[in-house]
Amino acid sequence: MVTIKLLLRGGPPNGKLRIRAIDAYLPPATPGGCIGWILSLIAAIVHALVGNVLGDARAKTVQLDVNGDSSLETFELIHHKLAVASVGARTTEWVWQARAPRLFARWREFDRTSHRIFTLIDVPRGPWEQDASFNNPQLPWADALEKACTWAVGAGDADAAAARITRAINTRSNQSYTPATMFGFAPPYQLTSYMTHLDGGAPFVLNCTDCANAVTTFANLLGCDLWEGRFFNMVTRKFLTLNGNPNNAGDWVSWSWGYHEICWLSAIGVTQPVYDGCLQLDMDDNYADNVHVAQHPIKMNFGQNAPGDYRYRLIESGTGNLENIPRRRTVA
Amino acid sequence: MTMDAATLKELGTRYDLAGLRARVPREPVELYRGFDAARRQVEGWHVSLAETLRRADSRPWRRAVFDAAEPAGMRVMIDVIECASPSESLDCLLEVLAGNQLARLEEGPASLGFAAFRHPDGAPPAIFFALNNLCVTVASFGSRPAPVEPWAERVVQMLAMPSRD
Repeated sequence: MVTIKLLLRGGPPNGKLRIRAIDAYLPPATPGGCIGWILSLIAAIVHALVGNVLGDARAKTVQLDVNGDSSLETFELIHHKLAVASVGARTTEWVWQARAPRLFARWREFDRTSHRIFTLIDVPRGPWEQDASFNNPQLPWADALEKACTWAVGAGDADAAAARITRAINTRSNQSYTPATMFGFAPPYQLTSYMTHLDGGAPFVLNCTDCANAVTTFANLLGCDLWEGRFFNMVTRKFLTLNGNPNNAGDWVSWSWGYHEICWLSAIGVTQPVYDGCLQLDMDDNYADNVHVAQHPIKMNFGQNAPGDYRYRLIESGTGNLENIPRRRTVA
Repeated sequence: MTMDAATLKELGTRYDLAGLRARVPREPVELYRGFDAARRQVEGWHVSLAETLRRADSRPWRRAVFDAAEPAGMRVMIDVIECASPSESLDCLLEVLAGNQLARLEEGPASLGFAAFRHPDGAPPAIFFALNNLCVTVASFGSRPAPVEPWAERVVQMLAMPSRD
């Protein structure tokens, strides 16, 4: 059973009322015929995708005190779609109604409320926390949820959510690559600043640590289980740089790196799947020519030298030795 | 120092940490307080963003982004982390170096401070230095490369001049 709790104020002193909330959505008036049917269908689809997911609040009798206020009341949600909803950001608009607790009394509207609802795969994982004490800044942030749910909208499981977040981080149009971290190597990860630059629209730069922080932080906000982790000493094959255009030869680059940081599913290890929001790999087998096949590293096996391994596709030479220090940097 | 021991050890494989620590001034130096590049005006550039970032060690960290009037897309970011001493500013600089993917950075101009490093040619321009109690990063931040060394010198000059604010 899904419930909500609320306080009611401003009712009749010592009154007793039946209270309920119903979906405020009304299908738009549409012309008749085929066009009307299509418009009605579009409106219904839009409502299903971004509209009320909480359903209605089942009617119950509420006792008000001498001031006309209730105690903290629990209402059961009925007709909700929380069990089947994919990742998304939706708005529930409720009409609150009251009537006298007797037969045939008429419902009368007394308020309207609007609620932004983020549907996730699971409870957010670290660096996010659920401890609400002391104004904990690691509680999930609404503006980060807005972004994560928009980027991963429609994802039905953790794999799909992590994949969509990785692609989104890699392809933000105002980003480009620099080797230096801009949003913090030592915790906290400067998430506020990162989102400010994303939203500002002006071009900015970031590195692999920043991308790994972003992918982990946003994906785990949706309930994924990613960790950041580094590996060392490599000369890379050509890869598609951050936010690069696969058809632009200049965007296929190679670097000599002391380290590279990516996201690991559950743990760091050679056999673990990885996600990399900083680049796209070249899956074309001939590295001597200028033919490239771009692929987002999404749930690829880190591996060794098999053609499908992330390591093989990224590292041309060097040790690529792993640092077994999984990180989830706190956010600020 | 907020860097973990493993990261510091890894950094020691890339840089001569003992040599860097030996450069820390032993004589008293001027300690800069409250410097904010965003309050300064630079002809041909305007401040597009001023931020105060939060560090685990609570050291003040101020970021200013300057946009060039021409050409569009040329931006410079200036980060200044204010420490209590030159020794701490070196710690901050090491943290900055630890978050740099390049195996090793080139030494920067000695005029910038007691330790300075910069990106090599071919990488987006960036320069990092410890000057007295400040750890400073000047990075090309936009879609077009911006020259960072004149900006770094400009920051040093700004520090020598009182703010008009």
